[in-house]
Amino acid sequence: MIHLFFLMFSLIAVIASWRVVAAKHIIHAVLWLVVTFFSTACLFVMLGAEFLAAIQILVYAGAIIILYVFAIMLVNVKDLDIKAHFHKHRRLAKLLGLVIFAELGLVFLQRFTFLQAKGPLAVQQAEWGGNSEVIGRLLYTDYILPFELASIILLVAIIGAVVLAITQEKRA
Amino acid sequence: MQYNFVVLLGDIKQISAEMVIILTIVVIMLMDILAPRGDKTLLAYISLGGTLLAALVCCTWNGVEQSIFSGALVVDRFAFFFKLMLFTITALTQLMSINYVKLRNINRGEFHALVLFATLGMLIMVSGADLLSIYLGLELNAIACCVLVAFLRQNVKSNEAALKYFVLSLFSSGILLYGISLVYGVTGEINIYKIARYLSGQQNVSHPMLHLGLVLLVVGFGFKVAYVPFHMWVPDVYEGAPISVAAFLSLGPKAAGFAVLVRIVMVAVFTLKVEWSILFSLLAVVTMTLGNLTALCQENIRRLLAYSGIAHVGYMLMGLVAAANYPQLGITSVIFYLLCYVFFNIGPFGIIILLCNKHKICEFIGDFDGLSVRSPLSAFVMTIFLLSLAGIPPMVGFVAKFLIFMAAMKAELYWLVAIGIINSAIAMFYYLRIVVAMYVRAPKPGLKINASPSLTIALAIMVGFTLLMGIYPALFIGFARYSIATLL
Amino acid sequence: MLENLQRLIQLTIHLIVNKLVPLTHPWGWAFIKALIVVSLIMLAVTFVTLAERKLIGRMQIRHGPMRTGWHGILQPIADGIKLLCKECITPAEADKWVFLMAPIVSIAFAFVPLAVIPFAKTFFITDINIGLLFILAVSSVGFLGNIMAGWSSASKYSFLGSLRALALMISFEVPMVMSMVGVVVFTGSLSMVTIVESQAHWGWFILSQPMAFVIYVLCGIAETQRTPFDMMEDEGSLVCGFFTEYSGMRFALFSLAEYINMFLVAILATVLFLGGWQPPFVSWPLFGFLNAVPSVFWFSAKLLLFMFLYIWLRGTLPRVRYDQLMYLCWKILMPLALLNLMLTALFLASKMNILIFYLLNLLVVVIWLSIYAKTQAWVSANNQ
Repeated sequence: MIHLFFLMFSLIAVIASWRVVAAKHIIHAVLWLVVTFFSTACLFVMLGAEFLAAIQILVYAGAIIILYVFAIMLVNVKDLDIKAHFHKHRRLAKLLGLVIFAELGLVFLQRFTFLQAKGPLAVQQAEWGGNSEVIGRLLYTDYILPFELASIILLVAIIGAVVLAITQEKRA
Repeated sequence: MQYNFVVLLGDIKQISAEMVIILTIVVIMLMDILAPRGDKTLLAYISLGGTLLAALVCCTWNGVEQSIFSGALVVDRFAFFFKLMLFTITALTQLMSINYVKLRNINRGEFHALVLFATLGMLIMVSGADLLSIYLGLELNAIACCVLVAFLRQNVKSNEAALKYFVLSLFSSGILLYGISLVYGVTGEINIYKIARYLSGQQNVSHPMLHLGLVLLVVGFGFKVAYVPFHMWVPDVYEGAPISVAAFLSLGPKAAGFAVLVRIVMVAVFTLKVEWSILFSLLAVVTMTLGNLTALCQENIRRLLAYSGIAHVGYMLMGLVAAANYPQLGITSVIFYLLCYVFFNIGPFGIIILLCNKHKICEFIGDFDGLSVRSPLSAFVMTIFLLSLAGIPPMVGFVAKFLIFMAAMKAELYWLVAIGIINSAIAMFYYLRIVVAMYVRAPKPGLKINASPSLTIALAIMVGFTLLMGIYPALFIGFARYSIATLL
Repeated sequence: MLENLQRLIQLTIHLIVNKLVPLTHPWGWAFIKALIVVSLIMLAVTFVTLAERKLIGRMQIRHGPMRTGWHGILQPIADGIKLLCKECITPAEADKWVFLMAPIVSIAFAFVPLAVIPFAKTFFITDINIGLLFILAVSSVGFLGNIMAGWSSASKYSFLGSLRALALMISFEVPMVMSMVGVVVFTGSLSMVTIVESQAHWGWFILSQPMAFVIYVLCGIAETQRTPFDMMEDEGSLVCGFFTEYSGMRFALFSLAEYINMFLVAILATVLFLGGWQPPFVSWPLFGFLNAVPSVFWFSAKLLLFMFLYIWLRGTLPRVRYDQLMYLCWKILMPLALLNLMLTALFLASKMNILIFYLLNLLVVVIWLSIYAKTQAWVSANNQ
């Protein structure tokens, strides 16, 4: 049963992400992206990472995608035929994509086992009573530096966006 | 280990230089709002002061090596070396910017803050001991740099450059993350030292997934370090970005990227040295040759410097290849090269700033015609930089190249050395072309020197170090050797 | 070929009947509970529409629907039949698939959050330990439905309507989540069941989190696009907002989704701040007899009270301007929500008496309101 679901969701994710790239209209691409996020979230749930799944949907499907759509709608790219711009390099891109895909396939087919299984996190999860608790604790202890760095990155992004977008006043 | 407040405070004390940078940023941003509108030059001085203070704080390090933040960062000699180098780069950039930003009308608080943000990201990169914090440092640097590149908002080229830089850095960080996830998938660790420990305990480390992960990591850092075929953004960005930012980009991310690359290949996956040395030797050949050949036909000095920078990365990669067999010698040559490269590669950008005024940027070789008549001193300084870039004996560029070639010879990479020497000969041509233009051709009207005290100081420092390191390299080589002693 | 197909169908039916839905299996039980919840909610929605029309009628000194059945009691059913029989028109310029999918997405993601709501002491479909997060995640995806509708209709009104709705929802989502975090900090859990149960210990969270409650209510109204914050359905300028081009049953699905979202906001208010199915004065032994009343009664009473608040607001308040709305969100609600979060964290760290905390909270609210009134007065005086 679990394998069946895994297969289903991963297939959906793969097909949807292919559609993201191949979609003719940018809004369609964005909607397919939502499907990809969703099936990825389902995979997270199946791996026992419910918190991550919920955050994935909340942040990506709920916020980021909506902002994408917002930006796309505001700049109005309705008449833009995306494919026309890529026509020149399409053959080459397809070929390269195929080669890389084949390479990845070969790599993963060769030995589909992980050399080292992860244990400690699961144990901590049981000790601390749940997924979100473990993540919360880890973020404020072992991973405090990456956590704070991520917030600095967001700060830089905000400052950058403001710098680039603000209209410069001309004052003597 | 229980991670509590006391441990946290101890860890924060270890990164006090970074904290100084953050505090300076906060001060700058607050002053930007609170200070009356108009001249922001004070902020430039504050940011310069912050950098110097951070460098000073960094120097008070007591020499004890340890890993902090549960292994996210490591404080060691190697990181110390690179931190000092990064502070030098930042300080030189800031010195060069003070007048330039006024000239180009981009003298805003955010500019100075973003330079510091970019520096912060690189500081994290060079001392990062796990792939996660390295990645975050890289991203911090990339975003800040991207905004800096786009700072000339009215300029189409600046916008184009920023867009290219942005898209490619996103792309590369995607690839990098994929590489990190594969490495994590195989080894179950993201900490570089733990990966090394795990791999050394393994009978057969030749796992295809690990190879793929390594290749993707090399590609991901390739965009930062700019070796062929991941160099496409370099010329456009150098051409479009504000000049002082281009100078910053020509060194900062490169140095930080090399630091990370060295840490990863020499520590984490040293067991795969056969594989990566082949990879890097191929990259080195392609990078050197393509960089030099393309530089031959450039008329724009900024593009020329970009391609010459790519070629120099090729030489450095050669040292990395040699390091597979002779770690001590190879890495010493690479980081010594980077160290002296700081001075003679930022230099020409300084000269370009020196020659630009409100309306015109002298960026074509033709603009340098007869500079020796107009201003003998600046022509002389430019000549020193160019000769050093070309690697002509009394200059430090020669010593650096010599070390690299020596390391490669010792590692019996004769073919690589041969290609390197041919390339140096090619490079000689385009560097000397500028010298010829400055000294032989008749001067053009309208060439004016726009010197400011801060820029003069920066140029003086760079010339001084180029000469000093050329005359007495042993001191600096010794420092480089000292800094890698505990890494390998 | 045909045989194989037949066998496949048989197998599928066998699987569904025997493996998936036997009542002994927890999934089967959940399925039945879900059926009950969905049908009850649908019923409730139908009659809330009627209640809304009657109540607003009364507020405007008229009768509201009177013709169908006794005092118009059959009106929702008549409306339903009418909508079912109407033709579903797809505009010629519309993006067919997206246009078709939009109402489905809207309604589906409106129903899903109900899965983790504890309606009564023992009645909930499922309890997961990230319940609140799950609700937020799923309901935020519901917005996609109205973007899809607004964009695919190829109509200016729909497009503008969905743009406005989007901006509103994105903005108000932030203080709303912030206000919920206070409650989560108190309970230390995201599970809806735990949140309700812990209110027996802490008392209803409306007492300890009054600011959060007010913020939540305001944001909830904005999120569900109700008057006075219904910018996207500004009839005067936008006809009907993002579903202007929809007709028939598709239109009905959108309004159904909208009402279910209203219910969801009311339910969340009940669960997070009003004690869920807990009777009032739950921690006082004196009022123990209230426990004799079935818990579902308390839940629905609070829920309906909240729905009444919605209708009342609609009948009373005029629509606000768009910039005022954004001002409210980012400059008033957002800092307040953060302040509330800080206070809550301080309280839990200092382990002070809960009664003192109630008073402190009230004090802060009063101070805030007086400052706000002062500044508003100052602003309006300066404007004149």
